[in-house]
Amino acid sequence: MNAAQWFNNGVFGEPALILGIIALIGLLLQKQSAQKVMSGTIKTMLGFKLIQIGANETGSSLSNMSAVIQNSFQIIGIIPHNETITAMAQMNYGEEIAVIMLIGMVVHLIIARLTPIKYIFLAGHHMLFMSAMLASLLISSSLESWVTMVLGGIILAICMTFSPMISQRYVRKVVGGDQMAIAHFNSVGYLLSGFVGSLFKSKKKDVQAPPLKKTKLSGFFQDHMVVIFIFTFLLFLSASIFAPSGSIASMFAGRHFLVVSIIQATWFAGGCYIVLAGVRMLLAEIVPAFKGIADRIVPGAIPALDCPVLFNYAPIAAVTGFLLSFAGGIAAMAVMLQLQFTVIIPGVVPNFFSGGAAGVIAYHMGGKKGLVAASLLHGFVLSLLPVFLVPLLSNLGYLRVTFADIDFSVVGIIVDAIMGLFQ
Amino acid sequence: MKQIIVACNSGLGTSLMIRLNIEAIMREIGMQVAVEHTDFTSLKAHNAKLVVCSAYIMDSIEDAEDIEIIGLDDIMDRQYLKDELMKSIVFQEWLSEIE
Repeated sequence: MNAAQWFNNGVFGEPALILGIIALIGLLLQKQSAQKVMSGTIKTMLGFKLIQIGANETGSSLSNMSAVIQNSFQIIGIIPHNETITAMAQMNYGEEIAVIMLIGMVVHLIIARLTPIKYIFLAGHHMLFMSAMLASLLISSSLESWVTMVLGGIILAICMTFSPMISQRYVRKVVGGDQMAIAHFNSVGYLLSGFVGSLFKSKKKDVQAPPLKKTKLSGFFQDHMVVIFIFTFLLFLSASIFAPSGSIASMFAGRHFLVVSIIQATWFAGGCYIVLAGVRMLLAEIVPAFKGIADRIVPGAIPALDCPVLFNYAPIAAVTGFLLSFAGGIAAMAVMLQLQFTVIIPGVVPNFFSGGAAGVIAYHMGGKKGLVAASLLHGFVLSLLPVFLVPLLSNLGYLRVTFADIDFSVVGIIVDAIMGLFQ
Repeated sequence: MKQIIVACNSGLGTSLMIRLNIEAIMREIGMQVAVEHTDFTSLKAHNAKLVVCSAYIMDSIEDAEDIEIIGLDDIMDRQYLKDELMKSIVFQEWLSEIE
């Protein structure tokens, strides 16, 4: 065995090891204690394994769900959920995803250091999701493995730089300056809602939208595991009610559909919880190291943060944005049901985050009218676009889950079109 | 052991950023505190005395007698975070212990 083979079969064959090494280097660069270095490295690798374990569980439950939905409605229902699809992609392309993410972070820092675009993308989970999308997409174009990784890394870096920049035009108005930006791959959606919102701008110049009072309405929706359970339960339940009589019992060993729905919903939510815990553990050391390096080498950096930071600026607009966005998603589903076989079922979690942040932006730009119009349209687009992404990721297999937020679809479609030019 | 739990909806983005700020403040004042970030669902399993989160989700956390919750209106402002911590009863106890 020569050095290259050892490298490929040893370190680069195992994504958990690549990620462990990234964390190790990050921790050493930060001059952490030996104990912290060791525990951080181990936890990063554990996180990767947790994602795989969770992927198995959510996958089993999802295939049951799609069987039930197909049996009852004769459609293919696809759920947009970033964590689940990333976990599925990691089972096959873990190595590519890890390397794309590493190259993406390095190139992103180089861009921030050398160009006037100083955004530092600090939402590690969205880096991971975009890496997974790019790996799944690029592998279908039968490039050499290393080309896939380098190209994917460069595209990821470009996305990480431009996504905060695109939405900053409106985010700046919400947060009142350039002290921070938004790192969430829904920037095209924010641009859309900001634009639609601004159409409803009141005639009086520079009138700030009045602050809305706080509410506890959102309380129930904050606990996402409970929400995912209820959502999955309702999906199973409604599919079971419309199922041909006896078919649910024959699919699930004679059990009552109510029991089946509860068990399947706990299974899916449980799997999601494991994936979520895995993503958190995987990134708990990598993101701080990334931020530490960025702080040192990029003077004047603008930190770009995950989208819930916007919720505080208009809590009611966030809740309204979420609910209206979901309503827009239902409308998109109704349209898809009329037109075709594959239907995107609007997910609660993407509508909560993207819809909520889009609502805050729309409200600041165009008051209540702007909020309503922009949120409905945003939800419609959010649930419609993945239809175009699903066929591009076909080499992941016939999964019933896909990426949720708008940028994943937009970047996927653009990259696919560019790749098409060269083939 | 002194422990602060930072919570947000999925425990991925916002909570990690607040955690980094808290850790920087702890280094500044030389206090040994374990800071963990977590999601809303797992919050109760941590049994912490002091919880930090964004004001947006603070209202949704059920009141518990022995837990002190700090809800932040501004997530990025480190000085504001430090002021809020200094106002906290649990934190003042910890401060008096090290003095």
